[in-house]
Amino acid sequence: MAGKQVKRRKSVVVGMLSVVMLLLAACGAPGGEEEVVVGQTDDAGTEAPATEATEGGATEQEATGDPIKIGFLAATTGTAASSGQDMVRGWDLYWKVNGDVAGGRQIQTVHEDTAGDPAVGLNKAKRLVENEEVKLVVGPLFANVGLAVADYMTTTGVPNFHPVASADDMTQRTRMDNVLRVGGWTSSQTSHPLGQYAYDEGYRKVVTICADYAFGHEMCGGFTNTFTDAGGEVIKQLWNPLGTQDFGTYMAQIQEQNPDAVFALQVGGDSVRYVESWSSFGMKDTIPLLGGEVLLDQSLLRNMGPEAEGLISSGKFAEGLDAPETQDFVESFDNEYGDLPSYYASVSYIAAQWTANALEEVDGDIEDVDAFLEAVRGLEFDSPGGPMKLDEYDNPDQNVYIREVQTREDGRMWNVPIKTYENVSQFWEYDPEEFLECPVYSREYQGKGEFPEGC
Amino acid sequence: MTLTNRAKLAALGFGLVAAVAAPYAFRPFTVSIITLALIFGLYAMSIDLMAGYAGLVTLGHAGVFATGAYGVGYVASRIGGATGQQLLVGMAAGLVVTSIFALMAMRVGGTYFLMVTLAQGMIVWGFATRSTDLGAENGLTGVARPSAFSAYWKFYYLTLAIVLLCSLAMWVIVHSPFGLSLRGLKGSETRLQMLGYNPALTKFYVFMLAGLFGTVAGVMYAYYNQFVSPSNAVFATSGKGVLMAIMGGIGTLIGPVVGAFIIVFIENVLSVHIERWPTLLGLLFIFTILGARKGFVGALSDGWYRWVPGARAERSTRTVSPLDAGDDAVAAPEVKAN
Amino acid sequence: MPTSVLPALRLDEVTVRFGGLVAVDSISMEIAPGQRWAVIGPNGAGKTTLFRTVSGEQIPTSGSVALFDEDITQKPPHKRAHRGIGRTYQITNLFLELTVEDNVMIAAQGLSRSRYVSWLPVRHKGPFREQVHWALEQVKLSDKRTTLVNEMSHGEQRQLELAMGLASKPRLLLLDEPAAGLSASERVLMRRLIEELPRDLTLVLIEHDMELALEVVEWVLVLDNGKMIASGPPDEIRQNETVHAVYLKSD
Repeated sequence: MAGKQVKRRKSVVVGMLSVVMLLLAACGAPGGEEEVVVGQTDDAGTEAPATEATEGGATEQEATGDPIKIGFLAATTGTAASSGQDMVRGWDLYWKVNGDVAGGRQIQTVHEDTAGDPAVGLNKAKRLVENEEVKLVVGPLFANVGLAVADYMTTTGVPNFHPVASADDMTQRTRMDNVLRVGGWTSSQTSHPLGQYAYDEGYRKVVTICADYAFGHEMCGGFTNTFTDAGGEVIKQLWNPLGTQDFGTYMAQIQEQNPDAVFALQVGGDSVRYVESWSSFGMKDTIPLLGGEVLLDQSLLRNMGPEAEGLISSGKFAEGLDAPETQDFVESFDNEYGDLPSYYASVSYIAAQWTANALEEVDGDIEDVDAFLEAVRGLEFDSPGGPMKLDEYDNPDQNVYIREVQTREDGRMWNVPIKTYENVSQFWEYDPEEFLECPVYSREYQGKGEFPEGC
Repeated sequence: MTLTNRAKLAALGFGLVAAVAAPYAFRPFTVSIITLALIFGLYAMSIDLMAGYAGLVTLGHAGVFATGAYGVGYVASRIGGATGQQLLVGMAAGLVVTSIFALMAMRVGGTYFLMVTLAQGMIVWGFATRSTDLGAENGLTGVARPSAFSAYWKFYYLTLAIVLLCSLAMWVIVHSPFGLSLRGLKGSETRLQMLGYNPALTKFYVFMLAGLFGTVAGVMYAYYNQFVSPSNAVFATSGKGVLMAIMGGIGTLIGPVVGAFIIVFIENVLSVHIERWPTLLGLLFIFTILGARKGFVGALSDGWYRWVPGARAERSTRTVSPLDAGDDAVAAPEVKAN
Repeated sequence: MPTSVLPALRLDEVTVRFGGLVAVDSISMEIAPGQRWAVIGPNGAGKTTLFRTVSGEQIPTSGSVALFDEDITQKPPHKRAHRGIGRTYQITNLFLELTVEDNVMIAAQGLSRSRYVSWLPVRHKGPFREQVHWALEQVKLSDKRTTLVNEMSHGEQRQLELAMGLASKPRLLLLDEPAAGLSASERVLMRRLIEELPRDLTLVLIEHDMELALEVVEWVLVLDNGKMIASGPPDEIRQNETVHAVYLKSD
């Protein structure tokens, strides 16, 4: 009995102690005041963990100021690892080729792997901002990770560039001040022109088949909207789950409809399997195929055979574009890595180019975020993807190429433009305000009928 | 008061002091990772309530976790409701879904229980990825923390307080008559039923309790990330919770928290230095299964009894019934007399 | 005493078929309160299946089971427990990871509402204390309260089996081969424990070992191939030639 009382007394003491401590904690803010102070540089006592800084390369300028740390997020492990690796290669290549000094300051890149998971990506972004104190975060890859990261980045005030993540609303209905699509694109931006192209080619009845998730919905929506506005009819929309192993049943359903053409958007391994089925079911010879950019991206062409030859797609990047900026980039990428660059590489390269140019304009003063972003917004320049300029919603107006897969002299395939739509806006030819009154493209809303009355 | 109990109390006291001091000692990022580990600790504890105590291993708890998170996310991002409304909907959604799941699973056991719960997790994930109202693949953004707790350290203390409160509640539960029934369910369902317990009702009840705490964890997770996505509900999230419980020590309350800290730190801190961190995680898990089946906490306690002379002597008189702990003075002589 | 008129247990033409096999074939019996019965027979005679129709683990194909005149044929085991049936198992069925005391505590609180109470601690000094102590006393395990079950000998586990059956103070206790796997000296103890059970407790015992069974009961039912081949007081059964034939045949 005595033992029990002692025990009880002790637990009361412990309990009170912890309550007191909690109260104390609630009164005084640790580290002095309020939230994370972003961009403080006086944190001498804490040394950052080992960082993977981009080094080497011809330094054309002498670095005079402090180095600038930039965080680079990509999914370098997991299902999209090869695309993620290409992002990293494109970004690193720019600094290798052009020197890692911009605006008089050395650029140090801290690479982080999101593993394609929004929660992991978010924590990595936090680490970059709070521990590494980066001045800019570039990436990540996936739209869903991108939205999560962007949402966080707005609370920090640190700029966030999205060259790859293409969720429409990031620069449309849920635009944020410090989140810019530098080098990037909205999903439907590249499929809007394709709808018009399809109509101009004389196709009237089209079947669409897209991966059943947000990116697929948006790509398909862009095509469907402009194609039906032009007067065409989408007679059937098929949605296949991500990771579809067998496209046989879909091929049968498409044949049944006897369409004038088919619009298809698949990603990763699904694209390879889709193109393979398209050829082996004999559709390639009978029905014209119009692909979204990633159906025939260079990263996938590397794994495709002759079945891809001659297929048409639309995209903001065409590695076969006969322009000096493009071919210089393609050549140096090929020399460095032994591959032709994919769109993931090109947009990341363009993001680096954009960043460097802007830093030059502000003499490296990235700490003045407003001035830096103003410079970013004011830039107009020629990139491997063509002329670049941000619209007032922070998405680049850029060329969209109708591309055909051709075989190079060295036997490798690449996308060569056969028609160019210049300076395409993310809103196509629609009035931005009217466009934004409609919902974002989804499975339910594909912009069919007379736009914008149809929504 | 035995040496072992004193050691436990000391460890608990030290843990509390360390937890309260953390924001003063660590950088903001580390504090937010600790916050995350606490949330996952609560989540893993709720799984352990079923898996460790009642022997009901669930592979779909992320479904409940995600439902709580989506409830908050939906109100915050689609309706624009206030915090109170977010909490209400988050908790209600979690509990409603839990009760449906519990009704589905309460009459099965063993492998069937695994399969049913696995399917439940998949249903929530499938719904989340397809529902446009829930943002489909992209999830829901724009979830704001309650303004009073928006600063990282305030949110940390809020999380700490909630996790402590929930831990205390779970401690009471596992030491209650019902907690004893749960251990009975794990030991032998047929015997338990023969003793007058309705096994289906017992399962339903523990499912609801685990769902309650799992939902709280999900709600906190939504505020932590400030967004909700289908990856909350994905099978890996269910599996991760079970993994945390096993790695830390299944059938104890502190074990899952320890497991959560290990895994969260490997994922978010070690991953910076070690490129092959998923491999490390896998190896660690295999090691746990092969070498330390009782998990980190189990291994620690075995070591304690083996290597600490005073504790070694105590082991023979150790009482397992927890509420008897204060009763050693009575228990010890009886055993000696034997 | 009007209550004594009601049979504690009544089976009426209970039949259990597994496909083509008739495991229990139209068995009827009536046990008065406080009586001690044994059901004996060779292996595969249907003893355990008959038992299970009483405990609720097996719903009979036809026939009915009544406890104190209440029809319980379709009731699940836990509902029968609340009506006063207790049961032990031939193959030890205990909560191995818990202490002796916790095992008996689970049994003792099983009929009370408090078994679902999750907001208060278990009180070994609480309302069930006496029941737990009494049950442990009955089986001579009082000094093993804090021992983990999986650290006990087989004999002690058999004793605990008995305590588990007793702890909820049932009106009818079913003992499924309580002496299974025991040594000669342990059997003596087990026999004594059974003999010392409260006299008002109605007891049905399955035993493969005829001797032990006949010494502790007042009435014996002999089964072979699911059929009742004899029924009567132990002395009568001992003399019964059919019974001898059955046992000789099987042993």
